[in-house]
Amino acid sequence: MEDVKLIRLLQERPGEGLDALAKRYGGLIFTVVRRVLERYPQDAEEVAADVLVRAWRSAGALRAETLRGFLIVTARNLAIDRWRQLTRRRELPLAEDDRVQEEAFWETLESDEGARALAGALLALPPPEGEIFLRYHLLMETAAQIGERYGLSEGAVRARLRRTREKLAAKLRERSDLG
Amino acid sequence: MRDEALYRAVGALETEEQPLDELQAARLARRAREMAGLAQPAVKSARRWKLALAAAVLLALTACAVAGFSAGWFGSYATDGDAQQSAALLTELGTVIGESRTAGGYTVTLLGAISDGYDAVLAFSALPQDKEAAPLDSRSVFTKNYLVQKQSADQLQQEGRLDLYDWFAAEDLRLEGWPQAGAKDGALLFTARYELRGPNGGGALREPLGEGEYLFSLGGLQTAQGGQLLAEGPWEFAVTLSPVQQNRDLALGQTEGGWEGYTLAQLRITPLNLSMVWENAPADAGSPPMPEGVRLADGQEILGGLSWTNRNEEQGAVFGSSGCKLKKAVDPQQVQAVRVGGVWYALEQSGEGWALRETV
Repeated sequence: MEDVKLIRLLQERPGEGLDALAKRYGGLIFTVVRRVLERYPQDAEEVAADVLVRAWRSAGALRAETLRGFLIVTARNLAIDRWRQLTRRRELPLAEDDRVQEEAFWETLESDEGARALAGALLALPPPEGEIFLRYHLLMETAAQIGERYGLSEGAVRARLRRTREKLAAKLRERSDLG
Repeated sequence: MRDEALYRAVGALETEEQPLDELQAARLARRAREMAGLAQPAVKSARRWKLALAAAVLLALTACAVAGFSAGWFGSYATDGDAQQSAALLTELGTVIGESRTAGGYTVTLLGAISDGYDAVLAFSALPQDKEAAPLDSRSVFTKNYLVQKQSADQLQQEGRLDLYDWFAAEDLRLEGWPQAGAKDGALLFTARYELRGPNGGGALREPLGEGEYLFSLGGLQTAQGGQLLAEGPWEFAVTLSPVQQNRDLALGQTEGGWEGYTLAQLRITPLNLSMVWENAPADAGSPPMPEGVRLADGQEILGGLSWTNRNEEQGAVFGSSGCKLKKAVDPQQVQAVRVGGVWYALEQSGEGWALRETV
């Protein structure tokens, strides 16, 4: 089913809309959620269902071109929240040393209202830097998975993530200097 | 929408997806409908099918002359004595399988399974297939049995050995439920309980294993322990164990009474297990509270057998989890009280969580 029709169905016949959303995007949602909650399958299922519910509640503001991205970002955020609840720690489950630091940076980015606009800045980066950053932080892919896609070593992926972070941090400082 | 640019950007990225089959997608949608407070699609026909199937299985069992069982096909795990209600309850909680294998003149039928992601109980029957096969009686035993995850089974086939402590392997060391004599043609009904091993949860409750493919294998059918070999077998079944959806997690806010400083944080009630998370005990606190059993809405009390505790200490604070394996399968929704450390506590909803109130 096309996303335009799916969104309309969510608004007009929510139960059927949820069925259709699960069928079309359930795999994607589960994939992102399980990347965080691999050891907690029951919670993963609950979180995945919560993502569908959030999509239903936001259906009025969704468009076909934003639906998939909304689901990915929502899946990622809810999974991380649940993981933190379950483990009461703030580290992320993926076994990568710099992941903690990277995630702390991403949260700074998200929490700074002005920085939301920096999504544009990410897109303005020479490819594939912006994509690598989004895959790592939002799709929750590992450095190894990303490296395989772009023909890079894990080390090279991490180096690019660090450079992107430095560039974005510099832009953040610029914006705050400008007030 | 403020994050529109971000949604467009990340939405355009392809990623490797795990496909969902129709059943999984339907289950996900069902859960979402529940959370959203929306009506479910008509399930009455599915429930009628399940009950009809339970009745058909029970009828088939009766026709096979195992009417001597008073508690249905899960024998000692049925909470009430009525065979039909037991069959219906266990059909709701478990999976009807009904596959047969014949070897050496004996047919083994794997009737069904219940799994809560921690333990699995399988019910199977054994029946002489032809006139030459010696009859079975209550002393007949299978001297070999195991349940393992499929990848372990593959390892066994390739290497001829099984790693008993593989954390993803399920190993059985007990056969529970005595074979009961059937009627005319001497079919016997067995239940076997297996612990499904998974990653240790440490202080938190170990998460139940999700759906998985297993190999269930029986062999060495003998007249009695140390008796004559009737048939070597093996009788092997590929089984998909899907943990029940009825597991119940209760966040505990308030507990009347206490155990020397321990705070009960969470209860988990599954059809086969009762477990809890406790915390905030000082380092010199006594033994942690142990869950011991449940009381159902109809007053039946189901106690646990084997129990376990995980204890952790961090910066002077003690926390951990404890649990017990219930001796009978229960419907978690019917549990109204739990026994902890010898005291019964009624479960009462309190705000968004639950409270335990001491009761008789």
